Formats: sequence, structure tokens, C-alpha cells
Amino acid sequence: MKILWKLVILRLRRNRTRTAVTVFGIALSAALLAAVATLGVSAWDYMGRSAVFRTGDYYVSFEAAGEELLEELKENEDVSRLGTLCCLDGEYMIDSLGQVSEQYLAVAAGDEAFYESFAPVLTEGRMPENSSEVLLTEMSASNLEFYHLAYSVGEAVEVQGISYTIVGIVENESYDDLYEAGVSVLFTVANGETCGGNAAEETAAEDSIRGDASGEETADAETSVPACNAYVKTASSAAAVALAEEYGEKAEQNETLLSLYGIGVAGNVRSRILGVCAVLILLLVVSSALLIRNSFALSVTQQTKELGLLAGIGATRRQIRRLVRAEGLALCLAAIPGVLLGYGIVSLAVRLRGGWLLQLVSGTEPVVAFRAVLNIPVLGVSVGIAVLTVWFSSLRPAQRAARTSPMEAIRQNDLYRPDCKTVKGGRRLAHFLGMPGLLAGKYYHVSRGKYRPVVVALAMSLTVFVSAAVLAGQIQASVTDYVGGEDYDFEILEGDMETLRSQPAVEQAAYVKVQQYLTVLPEEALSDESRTYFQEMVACNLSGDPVNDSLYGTENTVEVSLCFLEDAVLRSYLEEQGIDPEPYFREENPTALVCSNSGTGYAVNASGEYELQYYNYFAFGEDTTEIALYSGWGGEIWLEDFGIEAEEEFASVLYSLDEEGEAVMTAYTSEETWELVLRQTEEGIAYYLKDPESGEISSAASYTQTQSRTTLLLGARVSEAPFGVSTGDAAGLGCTLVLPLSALGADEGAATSTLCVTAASGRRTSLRAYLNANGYEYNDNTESADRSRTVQAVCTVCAAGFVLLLSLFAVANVFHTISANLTLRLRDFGVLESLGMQRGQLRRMVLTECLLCGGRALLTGILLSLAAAWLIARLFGTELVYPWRWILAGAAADMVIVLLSMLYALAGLRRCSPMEAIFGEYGAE
Amino acid sequence: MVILRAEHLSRWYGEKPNVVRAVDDVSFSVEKGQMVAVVGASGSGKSTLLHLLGGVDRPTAGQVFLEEQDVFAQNDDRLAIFRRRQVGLIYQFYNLIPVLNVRENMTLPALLDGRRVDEERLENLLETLGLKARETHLPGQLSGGQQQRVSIGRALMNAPAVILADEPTGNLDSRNSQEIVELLKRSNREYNQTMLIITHDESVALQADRILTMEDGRIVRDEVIR
Repeated sequence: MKILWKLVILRLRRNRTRTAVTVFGIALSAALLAAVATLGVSAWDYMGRSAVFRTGDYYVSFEAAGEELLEELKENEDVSRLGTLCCLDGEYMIDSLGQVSEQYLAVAAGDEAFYESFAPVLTEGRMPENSSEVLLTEMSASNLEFYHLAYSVGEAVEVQGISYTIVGIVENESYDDLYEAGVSVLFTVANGETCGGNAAEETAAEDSIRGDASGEETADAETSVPACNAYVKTASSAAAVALAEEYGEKAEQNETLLSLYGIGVAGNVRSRILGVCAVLILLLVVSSALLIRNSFALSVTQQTKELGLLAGIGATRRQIRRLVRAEGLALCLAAIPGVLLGYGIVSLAVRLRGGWLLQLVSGTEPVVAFRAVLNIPVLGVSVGIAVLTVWFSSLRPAQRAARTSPMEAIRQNDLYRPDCKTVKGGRRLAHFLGMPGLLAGKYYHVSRGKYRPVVVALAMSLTVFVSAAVLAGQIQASVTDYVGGEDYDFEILEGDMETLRSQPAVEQAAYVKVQQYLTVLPEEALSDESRTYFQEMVACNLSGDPVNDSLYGTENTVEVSLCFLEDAVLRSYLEEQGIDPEPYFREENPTALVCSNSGTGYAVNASGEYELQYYNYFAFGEDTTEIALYSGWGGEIWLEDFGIEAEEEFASVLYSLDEEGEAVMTAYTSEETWELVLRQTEEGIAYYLKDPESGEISSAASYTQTQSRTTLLLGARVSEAPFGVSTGDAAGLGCTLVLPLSALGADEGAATSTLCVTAASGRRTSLRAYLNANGYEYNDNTESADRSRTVQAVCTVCAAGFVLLLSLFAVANVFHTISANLTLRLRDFGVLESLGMQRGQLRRMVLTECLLCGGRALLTGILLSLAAAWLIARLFGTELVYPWRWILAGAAADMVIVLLSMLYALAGLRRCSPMEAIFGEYGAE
Repeated sequence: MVILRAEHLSRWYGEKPNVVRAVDDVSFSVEKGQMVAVVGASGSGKSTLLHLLGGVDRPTAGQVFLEEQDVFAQNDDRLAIFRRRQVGLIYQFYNLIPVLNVRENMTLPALLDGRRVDEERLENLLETLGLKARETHLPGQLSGGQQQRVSIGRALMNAPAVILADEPTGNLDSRNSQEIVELLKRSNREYNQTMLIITHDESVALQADRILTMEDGRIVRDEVIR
């Protein structure tokens, strides 16, 4: 046994480069595994704690639980914790008529289990020790301040003649949801009495505890016995669901917490986290396994002679197998510092920037601290996965080593002995490159198996790189739409726009005017994606436009946002995209640029649950080349137009369908409301005033909106809109079309348009100051643009970081494989040189061989990348945009890696003469 | 006519005080068409001397002249061209390129030189070496003797000024050894080919015109026996 370890140490020492590469691979993979696992566990922990902070640590709640119900729950074996909160008393407002009105103050007593479920985070003071001491939430404190009541720690509040001393202020949001908004609650401790009324009293009690009682009902409530809410934690989340089902409407599930376990309407958060972690871990395991297996395989080949000698002097196959495996085990030690490093880096990153990261991703302040969780079993599993990877990677090389024949090993005459009868390849290359080409082709042919890890590593790194880039792009696009939809900082409504444009703080500016239209299309003219989108939205009754549909007698009215963009900006955009601008700038019948419609909206998923989805689709099918436009309407009308006399000139409007299915416009100001029925007439849309009391509709139209019909040609379809064009408003079935501003004519063009402006880097504040100082009227989009950009930056950084780490594996693998493969052929190179091959010819031969290998990897990688891009596009519901730019960048990077590896290996060859190569210790580094 | 001349040739390895003098101040010359056997114990410097003469390795000191051309006055590229045109090397373990078939291995130096292959000479050699039926075989599909014949064919194909053979029979049985020696002698006779053969085999050495005996990097005996 001793000799085995001695040999292992000697072998590792002698092959320093290989040992270093393998140790690096194992440590890196272990570090990444630990980092991914720790991040997953920490995110899980954060979500759990924030759910508890927001809602409390319980699965099912029972409002106004009666004594009988509480007894049942206490006896239920599945219930692991039962907390109760009982309303003791309250104070009510008295209105001007002397009647009891809304409740504004309540006293509630929680038992020990309640305070376990709602573990209070105190910003000040301490927990109450008896029933005359109370806690206040921060929100209640500010409410009490509003009513000029005591709200600080140490002060006393009187409720129904009983004085309560405030001893602490609690921070948890979960406390605020226990009562109706507006009711300040004093939380005290139960003094040992069992809370709860009987079943007959539940109705009154329920009113009391919800705080929504008013008037006479409240007077009844004042006399009721304390009502209790029960908060139940079960042994498992599944048992909680069973319990809630058993009690039906009486029970309410804590969906925020249960959704973490895959239960509830918000979807299975845990399975998503696990899914993402699993994909990342799988990629890491495959990458590291490739590197480690390759390293072992090459080690065995390089040391065939030594292993053969061992066999020659009596080492059994089992002993040789054990030697290779023992080497693997020794190298596994690198997993331990790797795991610690991974955990350390994540821990440090979370400590330094965790809150910031969460705020960026979630868009809100973190409610509880985001901390790295030291989960020993998870770290142990990371070490285990790394060790298993090494172990399985060493199995085949160990078997190969055991099969080494002593004679073959000692002679080592045919390291590249091909198994086939003929070696194909190289004939065509020989035409261009002569003998080096022929040799390169043949060597590549027989070494394909050895180069496979290089091909896989490079193809995988290219695929991951392109996928990450495409994914980051899609996420960025969805974030832009989700966050704001605009890609500019300010929208200038009024002011000297030309002077503003010339300011150095302005980086980019464009005049834009948007007009709303409608188009009616047969269903087949819509794209598949828009049909799906429309059906999904209509299915959950959150969108679609039934008003338009009722007026036009179809389900396919599409809102068209016609965006007139400054000519120069549009022209330069078209040129950048390689689109001929001519049809777009025609005086007669110009063509409109079609932007994809992107945004987020709720839809029903396969499980019948509402889910926020990101959409990006073209409204029209590709065969739709022209559409008819009808003038649309906005969110505001001028009342005089509609024959309505009112103090205010303008009214906001809402459209809906009445009981008969007719379209109705509700116009409202701060004082009054009117209803108008819309009907399609020959002249256009007629508006008929409806009497609010009798519901009668006037016989004469108070206004008719002429429906001028224009035909518009549709041109190129673009996924990324030009600067200044917003496509984020995808609340219904709509689309954005772009025309040059000149198409509006001189009167309507620049004179009525707004100017979209983006500030130069770091000049946003000064630009805002300039706008304020010079009386500009503007909309400020910087906050949403900022968040959008920051989230985009985070997405990019995360994607880039992951790609970088995986690329490190690929680089190490390629470097090692190519250099080791070439080192293995040192003898052949020596022979070739001794036969008169020049160094230049040798370099050409090796370069050609590497290019063949790289080419195969790139071909595989490009095909896989395109497949991945297609999958991602499908996932996001967008049109496939071929990521050639990224493919080209990734391919170039891959080739650079291959060439650098080759140069490194050749530099090693240059150091030894042909004679050393022929007679040297083959495979030794 | 002297075709090959070595003057004060030395090749040392390592650094002081552990310098190994593999070849130590060796001077001799070989006449055109002469078959010279170099004998000596293992480690006496035979193979090193052979590689120095073939321009495969550079000497620590001294010069080698082949057809009155100073071999080591050339840069590496010129030296490579020199090797493929002027020198034919035969190794104990054949050192054939495993991915090339018999024909390709034999024409390797010519193809490296970018020249057209002399098909007639190739066919002659294949016939002479008994490899006609095996010309498309890979080295792995040949016996040791056949591989060595391919190696000899490769050395002869370019009609080099000198053939340097490093224990060409060292890895063969006696029947194959005799065949190889006969082939070498035949090419020596038929093509007036100058040859330097390193061997441990006395019977092989005795078939040469001259025997050089090496000991500790020096030529200690130079006998012309024929």
C-alpha cells in the first residue's frame, strides 16, 4: 500500500502541468458547485424568511375560529403548532350624527404559539410581559400619531377604559395584514385564558376581528366575546393542504409560504430554483468531468511505458487500476479547498452586495437580510459530486492502463497505431499544403477520439456563450418592457427643443409623435403568436378589447400605435439594419416599419394558474402586407365635442360593455360621471348619451367620430425598435408601426411632436437641472430607465460570469488536450524532422490539424447554438433572430484558444532536438 | 573520393561537473561507396555520432563535411533540406509514420521536398524490397522485418549521399536480420551507396568494408577489413 501512494505522489510530481490542470479543474468545479449550491440554498432561505416576515410562519389560518374548531385543531395530529390571536376590545370613531363609525383601534392578545409563528422583529423596546403591555407595528404607530394618541414606547393608550402601556415597536409586515387597513392594533399577550367564542357567535366575531364592521353591526360587535384567529403550522406542507381542504371556506392557505413548496396558485418556486441549480450543476459537472477524464486518459497514454514496466515487473492489473484510481483520489483533495473557496466567495459577495443585488432583481427593498447560508450537508454534497466526477472520470483510463501490454508499453512504438486498415483524410489537403497537409489530415483522422473532448468542450463553450448572450438579450428586452419600456431618459413635451438638442449633456435625441388607430383583420391575417397571446389573455379575462370587438363585429380589432419618428433617426436606423430606406420615405403611400410587440401580462398557464408572462411577437402574419387604419381614441375627451356641459373641459374615459353587450364609454371628471353608448353607423362611431337614472338612451347621437379609413403598407419587421419608439405597452392585442415624421406634413410634424432625449454618461442630473432651469415641460423616465439598465447590467454580468467560468474549463481542457496530444507525438515529430521536415512545415501540419479539430468543434457548436437560440426564442415567444454576431465572437474566441494551445505546445517541441524527441522519455514533461 | 569527413567532433551533455562526453573529439573520413560498421558497447556514443553525421543533432564542437559541404554551417531550415536530400536514416525501431502506408512512408522525404516522386525508382525499390504486395498497408499491419524494409526503402528512395543505419537488425530475428543485411549490401553494391551501420552484431560488422570501434565517445580502433 505504501508503494502505491509513493508512486502516486511521484507521478503527480513528475507531471506537474497535468497535475496542476487537474487540480485546477477539480478545485474550480468544486468551487462552482459549492457557489451554485450555496446561492440556491441562500435564495431559498431568503425567500422563506421574507415570506415568514411578510405573512407569518404558518400554513393555514382560520378566521374567527370557534371553541369547537380550536379543540379539533388541537387534537389533529398533523398540527404541529397552533397559535391564536384574540381581539379583546376596540375603539370606534363617532361621526357627526353621533353614530359609531369605523373602528380605528383594537387590542388583540396572542398566545405563545402565535408569537412563535409571528416572531416579532423589534425596532425598539421589548416584548410585553403581561396583558397590560402592548406592542405596536410601525404603521400603527404612525396611525396613532395621526389620531394624536400615544405612539411611543413607554406611553400609555386607553381602550374602552383600560390602559395599555406600549413596550415595543414591531417591524414585521405580517402584523399589518392581521387586521383591516386603518385599524391600529395593540398586540398584547394572552393571560392564559383560552380564546374563542362559540359557533353561534362567530358571525359577529368575524365582523369584529376584520374591523370592517360599521354602524349598528359594530354596536353588536362591542358586546361580543373575544373572537380568535387561529394560525396553524402542520408537520408538512402537504398536510396543510389536506387540512385546508377538509375545512373548506373556513380555512385560508398562506399561499406566499406554501408556494415555496410548490403548493398554491403562484406556481412552484422551489422547483424553479432547483431546476435552475440543476441545469447549472449539470453543465459544471459535464465540463469538469470532460476535463478530468481527459486529463486521466492522457496521463495513462503518456505513461504507458511506466505502467508497462510495472506490469513487466509483476504488478497485477488490479494494482495498476488501483494506482490510477488512487491518483484520482489524491487529486480529489483539491475539492475541499475548492468548496471552501466557493462558499467563501459567495459569502463575501452576499455580505458586501447581497442587499443591493436583491433590490435590483426584485425591485424592492429586501425585507429581511440576505445572507449566505452555511449548509454543511449541501457543501458535503458538492464535495461528493466533485469526488464522484473524479472517480467516474478515472474508471475508464484505469481500465485502459490495466490492459497495457508490457512489451507494447516498453517499446511504445505505436502510440498512434490506427485500428483501421487504411487511414483516410488528408488527400484534398495534400493538394494545397503538400505533405504537411496529408499528414495533418491523417493524424487528425486517427486522433479523432483523442480530440473529442476538445470538440465537446469547445462546442459546449460556444453553445453556452451564445445561449447566455441570447438569453441575456431576451431578459434585457423583457426587463426593459417590464420596467419601463422606454429607452430614453426624458420626453420633452414643451420648450425650446432645438436648443436642447445642441446641449453637450444630450447624447441622443429624436422627435416622435404617436397616434392611435385601429385596424380590423380577418383571423388568418394575425400571426400565430398574436392569436395565442390573444386567446390566453381573453381566457383569463384580463385583456383583449371587447369594446372594439362589439363595434366592429369581430374579435380581431388590433390597436395600432403609429409612431412618427424623426426622418434622420429613422433613416440611420434603417441603414444600420441594412434595410433600403426608400419605400419608407416615399411621399405617396409610404411603407411602415413593423416593430414586434413586447411586454408582460398575466395569462393562464397549463395548470390553469395566472402567471406573469413575457410576450414578444408580431401582431400580423408575415403574409399581411397592408392594413386598413381607422382613427382610434385616447384616454381623454373634450366634453364640448360630446355636447356635454360641465365645469371642467376634459374628462377621462373608460370603455366597457353593458349588459346587452353594447359598447359603453364612461366619461368622468372629479365631480361628475356620464355614460355614452357607442354604435357603428355609416358615418362612423356614434355616441349616444345614456340617462343615469332611467337608463334610456337618447335617440340622437351627441357626437359622431368619423372613421376615416386609410390603407397602410407594411414593410420590414424588426425585433428591436429604433431609438425613441416605445413598444412596451402590450396590454392588449396591439402593434407599433413606424413612419417618418415628414409623413405627417409640416403642420403636424415637428410642431406637435415630443422630443425623446437620452443624457450623456454621467450628465443626467445636469441635464435635468438644465430642463428645470429653462422651463421645459417633460416626463422623466430616468428612474425606470435606470432600473432597466441596472438590471440589464446585472443580467449581463451574471451571464458573462457564468460563461467565463465555463470557458475556463474549456480553455484548460483544450490547452491540456492539444498540448498533451502533440507531446505524445513527440517521437513522430522527431522522426519527421530527422527525415528533413522543416520547422515551418511542422508548424503548418500542426496548425492544419488544430484547424480541423477547431472547425469540427465550431460546426457542432454553431448547430447547437442555433438550436439553443431557437429554443430560447420559443421559450420567450419571440421570433428567432440568428445570433450571428455572438456566434462569430464565440467562434473567434474558440479559435484563439485552439491556436494559443497549439503555439504553447509547439514552443515545448521547439525546446527539444529531433534526437531528444526520438530517444527521449516519451510523455514525460 | 572522401564523401564524409568528421573533424574533432564532440558532443557533450549536461553541465560541469557532471558533463557526459557522448562523442569526444572524433575525427575520421569515409570514402564514397564504402560500407562502414561502427561497433562498441552500449553508451559508447555510436548513436550520437550517427546523428551528428546525419545533421540530426548539432555538435558541441567540431565539424562534419558531406561532399565537402560544412553540414553545421547551415541554419535549421537548410539543415532539414540537407537531411532529406543527402541523408538516409534507418532506425532499430523503424520509426515509420504510423498513419502513412508503405508507399507514402517511402516517398515521405521526396514529398517533403515538394518534388515529384520518381515512380520508376519507387516501383524498383518496392520490387527489390519485396513490398509490392504490401504497398498500401499501414506499418501496424506489417511484420518487424517488413517494417525495416520500408525504412530501408525510405532511406534509399532519394538516393542520398550517405545512409546511416542505427542497429537496423537489432529488433529482428536472425532470418530477417540476414535479409536486411543482404539488402543493404545489395544497395551498397548496386547504387554504390555509402553506408555507416551501427551494430552490436559481429556477423553484420564483418560484412562491412571497415569497422570503427568506439569506447567512451572515442574511436579506439579503425580497421579496414575489405
